[in-house]
Amino acid sequence: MAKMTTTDAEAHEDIALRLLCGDELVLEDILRRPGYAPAIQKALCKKYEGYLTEEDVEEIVADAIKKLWDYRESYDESKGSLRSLLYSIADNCAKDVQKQGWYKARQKEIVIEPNEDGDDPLEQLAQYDRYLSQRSCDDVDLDGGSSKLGSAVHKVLNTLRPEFKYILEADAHAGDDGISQAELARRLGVPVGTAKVWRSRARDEFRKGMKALGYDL
Amino acid sequence: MPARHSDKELNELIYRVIVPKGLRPTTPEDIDAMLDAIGGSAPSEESVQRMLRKIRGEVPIGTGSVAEGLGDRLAVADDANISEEALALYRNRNDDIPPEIKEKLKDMEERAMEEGEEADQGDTDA
Repeated sequence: MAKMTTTDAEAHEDIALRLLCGDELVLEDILRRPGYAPAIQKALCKKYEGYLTEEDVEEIVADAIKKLWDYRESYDESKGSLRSLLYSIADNCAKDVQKQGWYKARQKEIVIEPNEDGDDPLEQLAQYDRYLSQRSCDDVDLDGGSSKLGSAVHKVLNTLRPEFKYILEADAHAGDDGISQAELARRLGVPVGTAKVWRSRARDEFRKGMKALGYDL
Repeated sequence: MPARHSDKELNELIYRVIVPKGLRPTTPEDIDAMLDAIGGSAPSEESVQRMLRKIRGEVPIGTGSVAEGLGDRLAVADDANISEEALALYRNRNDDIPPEIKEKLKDMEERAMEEGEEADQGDTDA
């Protein structure tokens, strides 16, 4: 991991301070500075490749910066850097857009202050991944499908009909219970009922394929 | 026999396989390290100004369309199915073509004409 230089640390501190003081010019710095918006855009484009367009990601990052600005007084430095908070807001927004489309995602308000469970966005993100890493079938490294189980998942996904593969991967990107029926139908260009049936068949065929390879999911 | 994994767990398993670990940071430190590693190239002036207008609320956010998925390709598949139907009818020319198939064929011909014109127009513009 690259060690942060004093100059970097000072630059990060300067950006955080200016944001907290309400200096609007800091927005341009956040948009232009490598490691801030450009890096977040690139990370999200890569992560949601094929499921969100570059235009979507640009809107998502703009939305995240707007939320960060609106709720800047809630920022707590002790919980992590400003840009890590910005990334987690953007990633959550990307999940919402992926799950429900822009119309509903726009209606969601960000909660930077701890919620009633005492969670903040960064902690929620960490909890989610910790939960994933504790799952029984995740006792092997799944990274990039390089493990035996990971390879099997890739193999089975690639044998499915393109629309079934798309549904399963879009659900995976959306997190929780997956993409909404209405949004899925809109993306596939089919009626909601058809999308529902396809999703069910996609999961069945995936499970069947995995079972044939020795994994009972 | 182990209990069947829920659909949610299935989503999570696929997520862990299709998204590389490097793009799934779990702590603020991991996020910082990922963003430092990615860096990102300087955005165009046009892009900066466009995003600034959105951040300032001068332009609404979220008017873009999310990736359309397989919609277009599926539309092609629907046409292909109809073509198969039409082809089957043409193979037996003694039968009358039902009006609904005639209508579909007419629609397809019209769409093909329009698409052809748009493609020609696009080629001209390019």
